[in-house]
Amino acid sequence: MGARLSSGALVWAGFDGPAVPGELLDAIGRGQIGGLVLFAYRGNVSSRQQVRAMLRDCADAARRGGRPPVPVGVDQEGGSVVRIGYGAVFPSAMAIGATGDPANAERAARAVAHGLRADGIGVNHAPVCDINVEPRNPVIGTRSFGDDPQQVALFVAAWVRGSEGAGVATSAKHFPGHGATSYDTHHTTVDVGADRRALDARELVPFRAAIGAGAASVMSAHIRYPALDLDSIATLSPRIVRDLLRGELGFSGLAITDALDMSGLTQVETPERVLARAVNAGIDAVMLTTGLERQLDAQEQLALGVPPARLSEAIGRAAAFRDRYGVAVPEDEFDDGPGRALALQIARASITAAGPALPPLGGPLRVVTFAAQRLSPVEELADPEARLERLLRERLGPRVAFSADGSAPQGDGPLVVCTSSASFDAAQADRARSLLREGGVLCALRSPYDAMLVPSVPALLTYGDVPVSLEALADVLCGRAEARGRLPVRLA
Amino acid sequence: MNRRRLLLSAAGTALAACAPDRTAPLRTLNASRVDTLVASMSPAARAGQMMSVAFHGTKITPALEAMIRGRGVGGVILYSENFDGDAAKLKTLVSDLSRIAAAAKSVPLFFSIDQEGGAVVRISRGATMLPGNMALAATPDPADSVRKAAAITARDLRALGVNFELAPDADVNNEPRNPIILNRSFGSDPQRVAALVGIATQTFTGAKLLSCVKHFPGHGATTTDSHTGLPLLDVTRARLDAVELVPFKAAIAAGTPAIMSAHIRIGALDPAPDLPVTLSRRVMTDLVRTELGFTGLLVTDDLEMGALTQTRSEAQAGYDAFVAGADFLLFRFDESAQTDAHDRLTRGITADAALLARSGESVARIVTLKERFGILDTAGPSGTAGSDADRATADELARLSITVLRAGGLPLRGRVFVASPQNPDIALVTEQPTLGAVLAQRLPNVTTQTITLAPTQADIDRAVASARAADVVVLGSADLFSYPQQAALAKALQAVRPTVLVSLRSPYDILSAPGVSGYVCAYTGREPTLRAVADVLSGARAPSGTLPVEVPGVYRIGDGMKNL
Repeated sequence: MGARLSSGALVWAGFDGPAVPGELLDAIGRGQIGGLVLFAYRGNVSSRQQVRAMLRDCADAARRGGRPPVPVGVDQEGGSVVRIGYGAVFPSAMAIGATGDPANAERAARAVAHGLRADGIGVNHAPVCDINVEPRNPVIGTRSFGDDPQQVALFVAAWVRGSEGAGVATSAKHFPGHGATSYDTHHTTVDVGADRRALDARELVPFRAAIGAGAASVMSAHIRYPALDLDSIATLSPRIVRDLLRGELGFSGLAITDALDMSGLTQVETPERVLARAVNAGIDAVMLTTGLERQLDAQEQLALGVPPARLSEAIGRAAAFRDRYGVAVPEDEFDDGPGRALALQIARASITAAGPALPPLGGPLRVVTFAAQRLSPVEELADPEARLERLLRERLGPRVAFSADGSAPQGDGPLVVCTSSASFDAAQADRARSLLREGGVLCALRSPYDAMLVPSVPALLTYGDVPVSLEALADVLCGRAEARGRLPVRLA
Repeated sequence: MNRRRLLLSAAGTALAACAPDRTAPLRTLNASRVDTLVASMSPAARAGQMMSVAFHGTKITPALEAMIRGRGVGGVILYSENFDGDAAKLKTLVSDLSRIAAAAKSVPLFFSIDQEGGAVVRISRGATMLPGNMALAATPDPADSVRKAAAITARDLRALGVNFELAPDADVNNEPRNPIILNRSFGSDPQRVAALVGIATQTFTGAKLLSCVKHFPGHGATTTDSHTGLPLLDVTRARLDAVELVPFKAAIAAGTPAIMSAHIRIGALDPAPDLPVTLSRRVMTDLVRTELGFTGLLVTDDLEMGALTQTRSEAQAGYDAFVAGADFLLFRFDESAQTDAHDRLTRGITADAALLARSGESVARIVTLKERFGILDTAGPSGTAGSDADRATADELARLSITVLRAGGLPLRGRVFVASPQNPDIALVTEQPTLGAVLAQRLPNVTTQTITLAPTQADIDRAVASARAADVVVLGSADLFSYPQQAALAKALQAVRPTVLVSLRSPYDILSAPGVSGYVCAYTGREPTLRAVADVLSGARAPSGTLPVEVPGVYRIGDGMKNL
């Protein structure tokens, strides 16, 4: 089949709405588009039936053009970065890291993969291989398995085995490491200043593990690493993609870019100009999440801007990837039950107690919540505060009092202040400190670093506010379960 | 072929009266009968014979009767309103009018009609509803389809006594914003259009039905409807030779008995400002007669159309058309214009020897065709219209034409919401269902909304709400370039559910709604096409049509999916 593909096979596209725009369907039929990426916030994902129908149209369009189905990718990392909300939603990577057992990453990845294949999706842009060494990193945080390179590597490798074993491609990201920055490349350009030896000892460790475990793809970061290449961000750097990733790390799979229309990149280059540069640097798949015209023009720009030898090498990799991960849409029913049960089980093992000993729980509670904030465009929020309130009322009935306006509720029992990344929100942080002056419990629903706001009180960490994590937290708060997790990052 | 060249002594002109090889021969012309008749006609009788008139309503008006009895008009053009679209009433009407003419001892009348199939039909009950030219051209074997459709039309019209079919359309449609031709054309490839025009013409002639190619020298590249304004075709003569004129030359070579002129201005043919082709001697005589060698009947399009009457009266336009070279002048409903025109023509012919000679030629052409096609003998209706076999053939032609260009959302599954217009085609006929109604009969779980061609925001909101309650949407469309409201509806629907656009007219609607998931060209907005499109949308039948026009930048001639 590879012979039928052209430079269009290198182009991955995103779109708006519950159906693939007709122009993209036509382009798939003509071989101008090599992959699709779905996002919930753009209206691509509302129900399994809708996603299946949408992807069936894509597969049919490709088939009519004499090609295998286009691979379809999502960011189904778990935690705050989840595109498909109707199936089993897993806790974040950091929550899985907090269980201390890499086998949980393998199980979770396998279950996520089964759910994706049930929708006709063959690519999961996970796991995050970044080591969250920067507490103020706004875009990685709980998406990372932790801050210890060796531990992160163990979990990453386990995730890769679980997902690949279930037939879903993994994308180790964001190469060569997005953890050591306090900026988001969705908004700005970012440098990671670590020297080569530090990168070897830290950032590159999980990527080596992912590659060794058989990751089908690696996603490049739009970050400049002066120690590796003074001139170019990783996505556009032959030294990083060709020499480091291919040469030194021996990666032979698909090198894919992060979205080329992210502003961290568009501030330095137009998406049109970077396409050929990226592929010349060694990239095999360019991701254009927006801009239909640009997506349709990309094929030609690549054909014109990339030397034939390099182009045919990339097309060859894209073809091999497509044959394996461009999957048919199944017809049969899929039971999400086992996945949901596993997700809850992992969440229960992840709730972590930090700081002083917890007060006795099981009696009345007074609970304060703050509205969750979106730290990065990668996050697609639900309404976690309302869910937590419902879960606690189910368990404690009238014995729980709530406030969502920052005041201490009237009632009995310990004061529980649930922060939502207060480390990134000075007003919320001040309010939490003031509320907890007289003692209580801090529940960090998102960033674990919130636990450091009031070191004098005990903290419960969930590493994210997906429903299973909130359910596991509720069980701990009402005395039904122990907090069994272990901190995967240092709070210092 | 000796019968192809017949001398007509009265006019001193050689008329090519062609019967094609492959069809039954027409009777041999009785030339002396024609000569005798023409020679016997007064200027007033000649003037009348060159006129066609129309009337309002189902009752023969006193004015019409007077035009037949007193002024000897040559023909009557029939519209749906004269017979409620009903074949039986049409047959009675034709018979009544024939009796009036016979009682007045007039030359038997031409009964002409625009029964093109598809977008333009006048008979909707009791005759066979056929897909239009563009649909026929989309079928896998267009030549065979055109032959079958023309044979059916000829059978129907002859069975009803209608003796002059104002078809086929020979325009090459290569203008997506053309408001009037579009799906009435065989396509955008001049050679393909030419071949199919030739087949249609020869089939009509072989079935002893007089027919007429239109709209000379080509209305397919215009963006104005000549009913409302004067379209300008701003192209070079070389381009006309390469595109527009190709089907007309082919039709002349195939022996078309008649050509209808268009009310458009083409500077490359006549630089006079504001002068439509119909009134241009350079076109109607120099080009048609001298250069192209056409010796048959040159008919005007409706003289009441805005393209002409913006600058002159209908009667004056008819007179000018005659002077320019037209033989048969299609006047419309205005009774005073009819009598005024007859008076002017009579005066002109009487006063001017050259015009008298011209009128002799024109009347000879008219009477010759009446003789050759058996009209002088008032042969009367023969055969049956709307036979079951012909309906079955029409259904099959429609099914063969359905063209799927994009298959998102197809075949339809689950809950389907259909928004579709009533009567999207330009010629209204009664009692036609909507696409939604037809699909609701075919599939379970169909909800429908009938839309106007210009849906309001409230209509759009209602449709979007219905779409949300469905899994997939079907939107029947008509001329999106003219109705941005429909394009807005398409966009709003696609934003919530995969939407299959079914173009009920031209294939160009995709240009205004590029993002739809599915795109199907039905080419026609009524039965039997609606049933055929339902067969394909539901997956009961694989599509087989291919596009006969280029959709600029999107689809090429020949595009079309063979399986879903």
